[in-house]
Amino acid sequence: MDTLLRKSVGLFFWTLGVIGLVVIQVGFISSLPFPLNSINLLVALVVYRTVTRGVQKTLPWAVAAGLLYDLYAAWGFGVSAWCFLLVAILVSTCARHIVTNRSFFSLLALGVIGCLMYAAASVLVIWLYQIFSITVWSWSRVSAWEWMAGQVTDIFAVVLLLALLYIGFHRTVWDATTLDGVKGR
Amino acid sequence: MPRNLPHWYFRPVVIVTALLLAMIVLHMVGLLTTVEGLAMRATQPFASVAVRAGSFIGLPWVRRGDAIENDKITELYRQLAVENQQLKMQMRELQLAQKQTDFLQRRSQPFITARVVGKDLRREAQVIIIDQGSRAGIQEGLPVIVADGIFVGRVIEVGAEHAKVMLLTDSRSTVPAAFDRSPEIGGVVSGEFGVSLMFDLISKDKVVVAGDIVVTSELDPAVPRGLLIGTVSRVEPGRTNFFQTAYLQPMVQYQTVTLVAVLLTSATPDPASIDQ
Repeated sequence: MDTLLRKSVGLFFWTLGVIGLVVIQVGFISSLPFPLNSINLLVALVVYRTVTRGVQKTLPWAVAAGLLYDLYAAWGFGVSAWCFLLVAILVSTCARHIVTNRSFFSLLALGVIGCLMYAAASVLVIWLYQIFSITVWSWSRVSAWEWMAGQVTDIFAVVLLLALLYIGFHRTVWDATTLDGVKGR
Repeated sequence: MPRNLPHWYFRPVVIVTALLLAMIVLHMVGLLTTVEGLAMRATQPFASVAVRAGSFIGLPWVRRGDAIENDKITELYRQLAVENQQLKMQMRELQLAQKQTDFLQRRSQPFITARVVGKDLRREAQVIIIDQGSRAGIQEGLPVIVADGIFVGRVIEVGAEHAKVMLLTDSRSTVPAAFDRSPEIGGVVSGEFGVSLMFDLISKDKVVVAGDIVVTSELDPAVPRGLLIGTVSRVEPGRTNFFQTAYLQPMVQYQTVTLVAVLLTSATPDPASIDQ
């Protein structure tokens, strides 16, 4: 009974956290002037959670946040959820096989990888959505140069956020021994 | 299966992917409408507060340094332009009785005030979410203005209690427009990657100068004519020999919009007839 209550309370705060972060993204951050409105808090947190908590715990969170975000986003339902899912999987895989050093800079590198994956995934998923006529969204009038410039801003913002998260939660452990979520259970 | 990726790694991926696919299918067949409506209703009050907080905090960036004085002048100019526009319209209405009737009929059309509860203002997407939907009588395609008659975009998607509005600065947005001083000079205004507005297809033999005011024209039946769009900031030769292009400074800073009005134009059914 005690376990059930604890799990229920945990689920409540988990849901509250997802809603709160999505509200901050679509309400607060989007209302800030450029370039502050380029900050993608959700991508940064997907990367951070994947590295610190592991892909298992991040996937449900990432997809839930993505689906709620998609209710407010311009492109079709599920696009952000797919993108966050792919970002979590790729970041986890890279953290296991490529950027295996659990350091501050490996976290930042994974942030860059996560951003690039998010950009690639958004193009791929929207392309697939268009093939299956799930969305009316089109990249046709989006300038490739403007889009790439936007990605650079996004990467910078995500890396900055990850640095702040690291300093906020792990500043006393510079060698990042706590960043072990990807090592196993 | 690779040695370093045991089954417990794949299982959550498969489960979550399957759940996500199921959610998308349920969304497409409309079985999630109630849940989505509840989620929107639950998050809208908080999102609305967050939008106002973000707009308030963002204001100093928008109005920093020397821009403060410039903003005051711009604001005064905008107010005068609105007033001037209204006076000019009234004068035209007196001269042209038939047009007066049309104009008053258009202005007497009902509207719905809505609060902005979310924004998606990336370069490739310029969309705001408002807290009124089909229950209030909002339909796709309706024009959206800010309080003093400045056209900001159109409704592109409607839920029961919310709607998405594509702003004029979105690259996919277009609206027929004309010059305030010469309504016979027409063209099409479209968004420029969330940054500015482009007034295209202006006949090359017409004189266009910086500062000219651009308003909506009567060519789109869903959009009343005379709604302010922006002022000309520069003029460039068009892509062909027949047209020229004017770049416009929008009359409103879109990231600070928190309250809009959706015009229920003549193409729209009477809200009273909509099933509550």
